[in-house]
Amino acid sequence: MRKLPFVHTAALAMSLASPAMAADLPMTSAVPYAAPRFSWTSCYVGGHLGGGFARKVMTDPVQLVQDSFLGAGSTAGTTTAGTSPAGAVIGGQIGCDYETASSLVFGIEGSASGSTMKGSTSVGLPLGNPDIGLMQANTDFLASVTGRVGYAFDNVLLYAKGGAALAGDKYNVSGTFTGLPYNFQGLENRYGWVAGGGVDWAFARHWSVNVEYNYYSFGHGGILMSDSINGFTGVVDVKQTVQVVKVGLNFHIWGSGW
Amino acid sequence: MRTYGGRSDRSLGNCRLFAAVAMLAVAAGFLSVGFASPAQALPSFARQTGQPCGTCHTDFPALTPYGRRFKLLGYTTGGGEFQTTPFSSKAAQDARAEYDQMLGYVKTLPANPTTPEADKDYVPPISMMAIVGYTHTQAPLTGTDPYSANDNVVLSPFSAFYGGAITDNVGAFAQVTYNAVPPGGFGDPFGHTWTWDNTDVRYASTARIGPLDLIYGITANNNPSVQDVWNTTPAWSFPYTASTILGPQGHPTTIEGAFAAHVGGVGAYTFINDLLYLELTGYKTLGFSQQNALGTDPFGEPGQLGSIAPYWRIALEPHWGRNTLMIGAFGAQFNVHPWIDTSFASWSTSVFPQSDKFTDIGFDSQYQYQGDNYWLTLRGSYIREFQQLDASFLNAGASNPTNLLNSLKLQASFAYGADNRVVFTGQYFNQWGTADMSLYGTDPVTGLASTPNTNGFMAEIAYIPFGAGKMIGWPWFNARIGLQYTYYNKLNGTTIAAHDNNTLFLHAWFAM
Repeated sequence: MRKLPFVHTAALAMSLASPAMAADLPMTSAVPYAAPRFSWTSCYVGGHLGGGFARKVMTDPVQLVQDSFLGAGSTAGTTTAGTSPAGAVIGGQIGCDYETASSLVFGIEGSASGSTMKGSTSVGLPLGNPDIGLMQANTDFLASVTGRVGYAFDNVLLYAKGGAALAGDKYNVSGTFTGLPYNFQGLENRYGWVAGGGVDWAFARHWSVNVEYNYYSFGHGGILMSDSINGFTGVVDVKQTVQVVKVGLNFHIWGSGW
Repeated sequence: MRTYGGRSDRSLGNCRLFAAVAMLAVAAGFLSVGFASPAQALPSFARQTGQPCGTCHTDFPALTPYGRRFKLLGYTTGGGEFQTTPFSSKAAQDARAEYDQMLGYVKTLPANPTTPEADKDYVPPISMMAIVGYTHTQAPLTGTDPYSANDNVVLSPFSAFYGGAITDNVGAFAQVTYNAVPPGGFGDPFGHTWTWDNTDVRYASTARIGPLDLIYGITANNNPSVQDVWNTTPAWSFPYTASTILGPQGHPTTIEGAFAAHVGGVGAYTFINDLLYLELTGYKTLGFSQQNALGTDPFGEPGQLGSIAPYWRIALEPHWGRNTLMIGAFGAQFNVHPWIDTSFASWSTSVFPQSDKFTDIGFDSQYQYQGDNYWLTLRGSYIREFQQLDASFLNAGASNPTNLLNSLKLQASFAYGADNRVVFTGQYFNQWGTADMSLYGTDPVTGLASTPNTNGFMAEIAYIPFGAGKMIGWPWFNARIGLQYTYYNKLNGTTIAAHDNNTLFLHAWFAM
């Protein structure tokens, strides 16, 4: 901002003037020097890197395949198949905080990540030869809008956060059934909630690094699976949760024009 | 090679490259020598503000920090030699003072006008624009009737604008455009050559609430992201003009123009402490007859929105010294009922009762550096679209019930000079997504479902004769001469014949 040059000019003038005055001043000061307290009141932008660990339980991939080939009602009972995709999480965040006089910090943050979380498991198809199908589950996108509240010990902030979340998921059930290939695929954007917490350490005037844990719950819901080879479609239910541990680096802008 | 369904003897242009280059050179020389006039992006904005083109634009329509704030303040900032509004008052001066107080981007702001506002003339803020371009594709096209298979010169588009203040707090950018008949003709009976185009009417004001210094406003517009002030969102992203014979190919996401001029939207925005931008706007489909009356082909959109489509935007723009950085995100959700018969062969304008839902989330960033005699701008954007195709899948319009589509653009632009400005721009583009036979056809090699995957590069060199000065004829004219080349590495899921679509586009862009 335009004010800055004047501030800098004034600071420069003071620093140039001070040596001449130093000889006239006592060498010690009666008032001890106090380092300026870090203020969390700011908007910030940054990136993060971590690991994601999901749990996905699908009901019922066996019925999906067998009933598609043999007709509805062919499969007796219900089968669930669970997998635990894991992978890297990398992304960015943008947010703003406000610190009260009592060191409470309130903020809002938007975060988005790409993810390599991927997992698979095998399921038996007893009405086949018998056959085995492969269920794969990926989560390639995680996003959230959260509020956060914390307490600042000067440049260290302990905080909790919570809000709305979105996951981008992909599911495949593939293999052969009585010698015939199939490949069911389903994509979804699933909304849920996220809660977590962490510690943020401001190690420089504009920079902070944090370690954070988040728990995402996306409940369960139906996913329409389609088999492009045979033209089959069917719905499976998937219940999923995701846990993420990540390290973030933020640049704090300190309001207008820093 | 892209086809348009049959070639005709009614070719408008068999012009050769030499003739096209000669014509453009003559046109450029005419403006440069004959008028010797400086250029403004919209001359009406220049008349209103008293600012030369280069104050608001690095390369029009790409905005500088000053240009972004002019737009955020509702196109109402005055300061020129003409009355700001038909109702000019002292308030316009106050708004400008507020504006100047907020900004530190322009080294030399114009001196306060000595002429009292009441004694100034009022000139309606009307501008016009015309682009004449020569298009050459690597391989001749088919089905280009009424044009030649290659080497066409076309005058299109031609636009008229209202650009400027209406009152002290209300301003507008409103465009009406003539588009030449597309290659192959209109695909249905509702194609028009004249249409309403990008329109953004705003109310804007400023306020101070405690430590918060605000610009706030209301926008009414007809194209999601046309109201945005960074050239990373779809409506004003590069390329700023393209061949009407063979424009950018591929499969853009829905937010990248699918509903431009097919919708109307109203939203609210604020810019806090010259740093944080927030916006929320809702869009509604215009009725079939309304669109037709406005010159928009209703069948040019994927269908009709079944509900209000929310558009959101957040951006942080820190700035220090001559550097300006923006990091942001945007998105929209469109609940679309597809047309049953876009050919109108069955005389139906009905839509399917089921709907497709497109959820777009975008991330963008821009860095600008203002040198002594140049601007360096780096831009990037990524859009992820989740498609839940309930209607299309059920009605055989798509092979999958759900698809993903991604769009990435990475760009660098270097604008050198004040007057006689030369702008070099390069862009990498990439679209990729789920294979779907009904939507994208069959891969010519594998025989399997094809993908929307398209990628390549664009390069452009542009010459803007008037950027910073106020020469004879100022502020009435503007020009931009550009040479643009588009290279396709992959198009519509395959590299086979992708290069045939490589396009050279030499164009002259005039504004008055």
